[in-house]
Amino acid sequence: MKNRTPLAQNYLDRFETAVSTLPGHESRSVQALRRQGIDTFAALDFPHKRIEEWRYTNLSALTKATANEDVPFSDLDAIQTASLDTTYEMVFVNGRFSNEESRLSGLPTGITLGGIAASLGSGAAFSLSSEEDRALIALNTAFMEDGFSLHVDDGVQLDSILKITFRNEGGTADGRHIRNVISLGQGSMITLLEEHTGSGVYFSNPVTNISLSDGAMLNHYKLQNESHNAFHLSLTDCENAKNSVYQNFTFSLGGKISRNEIKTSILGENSESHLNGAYLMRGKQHCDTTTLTEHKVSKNISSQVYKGVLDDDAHGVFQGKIHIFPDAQQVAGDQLSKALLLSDSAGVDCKPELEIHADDVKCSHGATSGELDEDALFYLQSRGISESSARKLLIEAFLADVLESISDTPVKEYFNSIAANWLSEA
Amino acid sequence: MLEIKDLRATVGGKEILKGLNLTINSGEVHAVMGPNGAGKSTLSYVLSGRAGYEVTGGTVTYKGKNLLDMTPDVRACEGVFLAFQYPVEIPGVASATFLKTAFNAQRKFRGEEELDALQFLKLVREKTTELGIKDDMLKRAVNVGFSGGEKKRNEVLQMALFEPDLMLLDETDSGLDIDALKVAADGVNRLRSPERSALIITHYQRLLDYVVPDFVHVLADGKIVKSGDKSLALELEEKGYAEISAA
Amino acid sequence: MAVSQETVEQVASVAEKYKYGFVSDIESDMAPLGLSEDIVRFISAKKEEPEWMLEWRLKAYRYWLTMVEPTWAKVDYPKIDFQDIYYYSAPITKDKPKSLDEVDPELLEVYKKLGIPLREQEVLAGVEGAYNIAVDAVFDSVSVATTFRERLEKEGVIFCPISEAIRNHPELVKKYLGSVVPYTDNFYSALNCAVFTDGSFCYIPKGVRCPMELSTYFRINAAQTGQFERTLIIADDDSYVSYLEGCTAPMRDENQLHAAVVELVILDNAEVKYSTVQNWYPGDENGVGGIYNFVTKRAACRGVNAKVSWTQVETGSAITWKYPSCILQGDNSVGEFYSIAITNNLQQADTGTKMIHLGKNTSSTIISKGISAGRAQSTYRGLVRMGKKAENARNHTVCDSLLIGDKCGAHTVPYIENQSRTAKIEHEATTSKISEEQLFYCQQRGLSDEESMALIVNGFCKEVLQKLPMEFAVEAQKLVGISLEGSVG
Repeated sequence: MKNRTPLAQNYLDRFETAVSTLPGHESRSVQALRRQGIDTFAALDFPHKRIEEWRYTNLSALTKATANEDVPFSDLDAIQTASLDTTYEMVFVNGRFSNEESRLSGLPTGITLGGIAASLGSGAAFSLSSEEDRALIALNTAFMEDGFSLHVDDGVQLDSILKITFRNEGGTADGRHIRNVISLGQGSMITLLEEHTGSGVYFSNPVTNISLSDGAMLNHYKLQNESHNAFHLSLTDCENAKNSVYQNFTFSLGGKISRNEIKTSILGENSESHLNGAYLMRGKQHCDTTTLTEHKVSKNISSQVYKGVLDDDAHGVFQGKIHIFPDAQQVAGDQLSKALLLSDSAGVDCKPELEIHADDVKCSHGATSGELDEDALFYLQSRGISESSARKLLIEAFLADVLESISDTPVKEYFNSIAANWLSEA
Repeated sequence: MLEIKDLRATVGGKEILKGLNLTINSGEVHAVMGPNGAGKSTLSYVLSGRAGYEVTGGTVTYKGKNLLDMTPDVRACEGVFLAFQYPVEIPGVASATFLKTAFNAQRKFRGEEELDALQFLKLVREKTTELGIKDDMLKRAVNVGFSGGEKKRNEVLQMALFEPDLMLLDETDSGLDIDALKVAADGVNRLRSPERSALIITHYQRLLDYVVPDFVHVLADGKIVKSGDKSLALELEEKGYAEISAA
Repeated sequence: MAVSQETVEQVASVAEKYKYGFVSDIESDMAPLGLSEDIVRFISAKKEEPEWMLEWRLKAYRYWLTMVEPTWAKVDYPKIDFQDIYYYSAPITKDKPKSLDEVDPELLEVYKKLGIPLREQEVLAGVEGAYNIAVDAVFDSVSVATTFRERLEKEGVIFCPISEAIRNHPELVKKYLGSVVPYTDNFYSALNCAVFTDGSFCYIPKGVRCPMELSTYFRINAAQTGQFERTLIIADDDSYVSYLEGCTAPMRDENQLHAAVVELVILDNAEVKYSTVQNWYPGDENGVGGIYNFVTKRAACRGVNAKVSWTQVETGSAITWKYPSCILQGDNSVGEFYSIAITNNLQQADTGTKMIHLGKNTSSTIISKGISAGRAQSTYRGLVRMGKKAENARNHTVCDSLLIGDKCGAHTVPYIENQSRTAKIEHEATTSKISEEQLFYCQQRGLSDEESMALIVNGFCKEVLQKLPMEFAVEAQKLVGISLEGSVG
């Protein structure tokens, strides 16, 4: 077989020690699960550019390094943000649940929230994504350390926002293999804000599995504000039962190389899946957004809207696929990707894809990329607004409609203020 | 106020203005008329500083300063206002935000206190009432989805708000019905004063029935070929450009 | 209301009306079955080629041996046995015909039956309805006739079989052959370089506007043969040519391979319009037989203000794998791609274009209309790339798919890569089914199902049909109707 990447070899070398020390090591079933994961990973190695889904994102800066010191360093810091205060907050520091920093008391009954490490430790097995072809999930399964497990009982609705913070500090060689599991009972509803922040060099690899029962609704926000020296490769899988609604908004600012991969499978009628997001990148940042929406049954709608602003040498990637299975009739799927290039050395690659095997459908996608509108810029200047203010105003306007789509006002204001911060640092 | 001497300018490598001379004193209203392709819009863009309009010769002095040295926003802050022939649509930017940002930028430039949202809104309301403009326009994105008439009214509203010293009107009458034309003319006439000047660039003399100019110039092939008083406009209307330019 | 499945199947069972499916009994000179260096030498010798050409073919062949068949296209077919194909088949003639009068009357009869105008006399005699068009007729592996050569020579236009150009114009062929599509480009182009047997060559000299439309008509007749044609068109500075290409094949139960390469070289201020009506035998309603159409077409706009326009109507072939591309190298050069791809029964088409913007102010337009019926699968696959130096480049892409019946598929896979701040790319795509309201409206006004369908689909394709030269447009419109026969109830 061909040569392994140094980092993959490093993980294989460390596996035997890990399997006997990581949470759940006393459980045979957890051990078996980890072994299955490492075997799959050993066969696949890290994703590379010859894999169609990874053609635009090159992980060699990560996989060539056996120690984090080898990773070239960026001087840019993560954007400072005023944090959003929420009633409930669960905090993970360097991949492990921190009880001290979390505020979880008083969660209404019917909402069960805990760390995965604890449930692995108690031997409670949970079903994991069995996909054979996604190396990062396999790696996560082999090395998962902690993460949150959230279950909401039938009919329970949480009115306030539940915030989950992942704070990472670089310096250690281990990746942060976070595994999250969310299950929403029938007719339940919850709003979640995930925040990923950090400093220094590290590799974050969170995997989140979501299942929504009949009539459930999840508003899922994610702020990716990792260190500019970090790798953030996340995968979110969501399954929608009938009448359920999944709304995801991912706001990406951080990371040296980041990828936000979301796969949603619509398995019941009258369901909705809305994946939106914005990314603001500068320096040598690389940000990849990859979505797959599978319509497996009839009478559903889905949408994706992503907007990106790319400055300096930053590079953006958007790959979005809508897949309509045979006999999944009366489906509407819409997709839009827009990228703004602010500098001569910024770039964007886009692959919006439709795979349609049913006829009674209405699907569309649009993709645009280009610079700021010169006419608008001149018009603003001719009214006395300086060029830099005019640019800022136009970038804000470019982002306005997607940020406006956020239904929770506190989150909307929070993200808007972060965007304003980012712009003022230009 | 404005002194243009032997102005030459090219667009995309092609010379459009070929030695244009024009002097506008405080309080005067001048009209520049000319056939299509004479360089009318180029003149307005050169004066307002649009990129791509390259000045290759001559000078433009505004209030004793070199206008050509200034960036477009500084010209605006110095009191040069261009009413666009085709006002630009800016999706995502609310009109109110736009007006306030521009208004305060100009005040700041002059060393004046910026207005807060409330004070500003009050001022805008006064102006819209004065001009008979519906203020629901303020909530919409700049010029987006505006009819031709609404776009021109928006230009007039901005002019009323910014109170410029030099108004440049680029074919403001094109595509306007008679009511909208009157609103536009009214906007200019309200601002007419011994301290302010205006340059009206137009193909037809229609607008000049409502804003009576002190001087009329004929622009042909990048130069002023004839100047006169307001009767020249009527003469042009009657005889056409060909005859006058040839004379 | 979806088109009822029962009706779809019922009507689909009505015999396919492929009117070009006849086989002609023409004696052929064939190469031994299979592929080897000897076969490559055999072909080269048959063509009386110079040594350098043979060397090039052998290099390509050896390179091809190291390659694997691509699998990324969304098409599904049993593995091709490249040793079970005849790589050379030519109708036997005593001597090379000097004029049309000497061409085997049997062959002329074939082209007459296909409706191909090989009748210079009629045009020269001013017969009404005869098209003013020069034709190179390629039958299996060889060119059998090229019309109007003298008339073209007067203008300095060279229009001849490529085998002849290799012998008579080696300086042009050496300079440009393989310069747009090198043999290393892809699996099928490598194979083509090794074994291509004929095709058309065309050179339009500086400042010449080609006085008539040029056309090549490809016919596969012999069983079990592959057709590997090669076309090279060079438009020198300030020249213009409109080029048409048509293809048909008999109905046979086995699949036949067609792997062509077309290269266009366009210099300063020149323009090439290339139109294709591809109507290879598509196989029957159960997917038996049909042509595998694996084609590499590419245009290099090398000069400033160069312009290329690809227009294609793809209705035939069991499998189509084809991406006519434009390399926009010269500043201000323009690339256009207008495509209609219709798939019915069990046809599969994976087609699209590549627009590679390298020069300043380059612009490209893509309009793709895909129609799927029966159990067919149709994929648009396209690439738009703006290089770092492509200042102020523009692309606009519209890519619409229409589904007829619920057992077919329509897919869209665009790759959009922008490395230039001042470039602007706009891409839009839609997929929907044929409108029941429109169908009913037409029927209520007295049109039959199929007439209504043909009318609506023609409307859906109108933007592309308008880009075809007049004579082709009429043929293409009819073809749209015929291709969809049996797809609606």
